[in-house]
Amino acid sequence: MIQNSMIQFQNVFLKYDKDTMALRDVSLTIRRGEFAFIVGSSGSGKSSIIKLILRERAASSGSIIVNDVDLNKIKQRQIPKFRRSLGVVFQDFRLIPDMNVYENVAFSMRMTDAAPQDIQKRVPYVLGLMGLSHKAKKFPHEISGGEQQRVALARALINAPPIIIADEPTGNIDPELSYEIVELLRGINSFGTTVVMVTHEQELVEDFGGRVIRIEDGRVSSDTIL
Amino acid sequence: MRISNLSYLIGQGLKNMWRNRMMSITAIGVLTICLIMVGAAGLLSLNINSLVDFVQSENEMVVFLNDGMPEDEALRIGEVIQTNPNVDQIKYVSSEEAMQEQREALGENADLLDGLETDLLPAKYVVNVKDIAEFEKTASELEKLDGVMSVSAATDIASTLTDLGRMVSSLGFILIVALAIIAVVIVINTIKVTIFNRSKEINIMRYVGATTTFIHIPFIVEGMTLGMISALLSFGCTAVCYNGVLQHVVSEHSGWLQSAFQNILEFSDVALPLGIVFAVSGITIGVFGSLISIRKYARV
Repeated sequence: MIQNSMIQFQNVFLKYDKDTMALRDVSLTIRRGEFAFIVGSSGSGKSSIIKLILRERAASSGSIIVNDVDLNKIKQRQIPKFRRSLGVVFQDFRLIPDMNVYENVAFSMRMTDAAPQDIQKRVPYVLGLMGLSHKAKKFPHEISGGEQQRVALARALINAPPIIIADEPTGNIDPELSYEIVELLRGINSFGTTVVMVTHEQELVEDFGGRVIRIEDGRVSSDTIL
Repeated sequence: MRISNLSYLIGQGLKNMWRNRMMSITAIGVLTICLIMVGAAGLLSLNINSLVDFVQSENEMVVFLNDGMPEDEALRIGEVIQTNPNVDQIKYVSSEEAMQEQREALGENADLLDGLETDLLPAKYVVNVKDIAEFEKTASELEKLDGVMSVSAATDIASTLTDLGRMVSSLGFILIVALAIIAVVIVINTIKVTIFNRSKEINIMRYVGATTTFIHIPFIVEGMTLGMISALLSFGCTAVCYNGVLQHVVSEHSGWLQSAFQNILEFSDVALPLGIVFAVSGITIGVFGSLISIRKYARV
């Protein structure tokens, strides 16, 4: 294992069925505290990488190590605990519609069996960081897309995970708000959290720069620093 | 798991039930009917057994003598009856005394017997036996004696009641099993609807690292609550109906039937075991239905 690596793929293949090869011989390493963009066109295989990192699927072959956990060896019952070490943000926000903003964020803390007083202290703090203190009692349908994504980000951050995985987090919001979200992710990264952001928005990537891993036809076609 | 989280999950289960209230009401209705049937069959069976015991405890039979038998002949037959090893005591009732007994039994309506001959009814012996187990055998031996017209023994009633009890048990069992299956299917579907309504939430829970137990507890709470509410409702319904029927039966009958019905169990005698049966059955069906539904539709 490469020292100081947070995510490490080695010769990973992912086959959905005998005719569909989603990933072919992917090897990449993302170090602790790094901010990396994974880019590629639709169907290129970038979402498959996320599925493997979240252990939603197991690799057909090759080795994947995330936060020192070998995902080939992890047992089914250990997966929930492993997932708590990841903060995940999705394109469609995935907020629970009948829970208000506060509850949506607190919900994630309950999974870790957190004490009620810790929940009461931490949730308002993280909502404050995301500029959502005044929206705590609102329901998802009562706030804008950008705000919903910030709630999703707050939920991802609430358990202070060492890694944030953002899968097309700007795909469903206005372009100007996209910059705001990436800024927030950058801010989170500056505190030492590893951030992996999947996107197909070339312009956004060019504007922010940093490490860009390009996936094409299931392979890493380039891995550069802009 | 912390108490606060457990109470949160229990709250989620109750919320699910409320959100899905039409299905919940249907499930509670079917489950309640099922439990009431369980209770009715059980109470009927218990009471039939109690009546059989009462009838058998009345270790008495009546030996009717041939019509117009002279008294000295009747007394001779009495001596023969007394020689039967299982006969304990005998009491002779002449035709006239039998008529008098009948008058007393009719009470205000005794005048119906006016104008009838006083020796219309046959003379009889009321015979008490020593060993109740030999009751039927003794009755049949006495029936064969010369001068004996017939023997009336409560064995017929006891055996009819026993047969009835058996029938109630078998029919009740089939009915209860059928209703229990329907109740489980309804609970499975109720929980299935909740799982489908919450599929998005379950998916999110998986991504944020919820354990299987954490995801499943609200559904189990929902099934358990459906069972508990049904158990309470069926207990209440059974208590009200049973007391109503009991009052009616006891007040509407007189004589031997009334004394037999005095042996019917009071609801308070069976309330605790019945309550336990209802609670255990209701909760078992509810939880069983939830678990099947979770296994089938909420694989995480």
